[in-house]
Amino acid sequence: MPHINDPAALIGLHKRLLQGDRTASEEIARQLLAPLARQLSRKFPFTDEQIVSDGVTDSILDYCEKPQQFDATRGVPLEGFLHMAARRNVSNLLRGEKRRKAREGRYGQASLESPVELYVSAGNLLQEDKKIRVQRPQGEAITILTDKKDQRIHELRLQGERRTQVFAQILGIDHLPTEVQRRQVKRAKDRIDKLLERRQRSQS
Amino acid sequence: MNSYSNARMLAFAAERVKTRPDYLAWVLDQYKETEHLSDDDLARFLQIRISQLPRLGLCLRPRQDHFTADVEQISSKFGADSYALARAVRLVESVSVMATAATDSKDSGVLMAARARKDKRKLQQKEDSRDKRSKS
Repeated sequence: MPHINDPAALIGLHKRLLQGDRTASEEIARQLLAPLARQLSRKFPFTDEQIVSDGVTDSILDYCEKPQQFDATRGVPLEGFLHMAARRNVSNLLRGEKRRKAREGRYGQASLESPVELYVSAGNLLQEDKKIRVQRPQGEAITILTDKKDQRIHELRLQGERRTQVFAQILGIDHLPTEVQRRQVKRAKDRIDKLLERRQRSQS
Repeated sequence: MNSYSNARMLAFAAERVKTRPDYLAWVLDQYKETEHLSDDDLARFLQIRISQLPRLGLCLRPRQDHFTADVEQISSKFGADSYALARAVRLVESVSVMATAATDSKDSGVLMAARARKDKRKLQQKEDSRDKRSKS
């Protein structure tokens, strides 16, 4: 593992945290966040940046909340301890992500194979109705959606885009944690759907 | 790799730490919500630059038993108005205490109702057995 910082200075910060210093956490975060994230990104070269950032940030925040969990007498340097914690966090997040994708895949497959679902005359008429209302041609949507970002999001959705990251970039929130991005992207999509639906209702 | 620059990681952490009540970021976020303030308003209130907010948020929140000293330590490091910081922390604490008290009283009401019904049933059973005994 490459050398990050002066170990003596880090031990000094650790002692300050143990003594209840309220500002030491900020100094530790400032010194270790970026170097640890860079190290971890080398360990997990094809992993989403958000996951690496989440893992590293959580390891530092967890440690600062409970600095007693690091025992300086064991001979492991603080940056090594945090590196291990961050690696464990990233592995857990990746496992969770893998499970989520598998679950979504299973549900997707189940709904495709289902004999009763997705047949318009048999059921789910409401959903189909909403789909028709919301899936307006881009030209028509431009007159309803005045915001450029909303227009771009709607255009991409019509093209079948589903990745949160793409929409997050349009909204300019791709630097935020994954869950926050997911929430805000969903909120934006719902808002656009509502706008389109409302216009449809007022016309009919 | 530029994507993991210090500034970017600090901004990321400052956002993530808002979900952790042990940190000042959580307290200040609650304060902003309660008082309907923007980041600009908050920075003005604390008399710091808006760019200092992420770093301030990464400090641990003041402890109850060392409140004055902790507030002084944090505010002197960032040049913030200690009175304003103390006021923000105290307000958030009072609001969360009131919210907890409201939840507790609601729960205790449910428990009391459940207890009362149980007691009534017991009383009824006791009275019944007493009646039987007196008849026999």
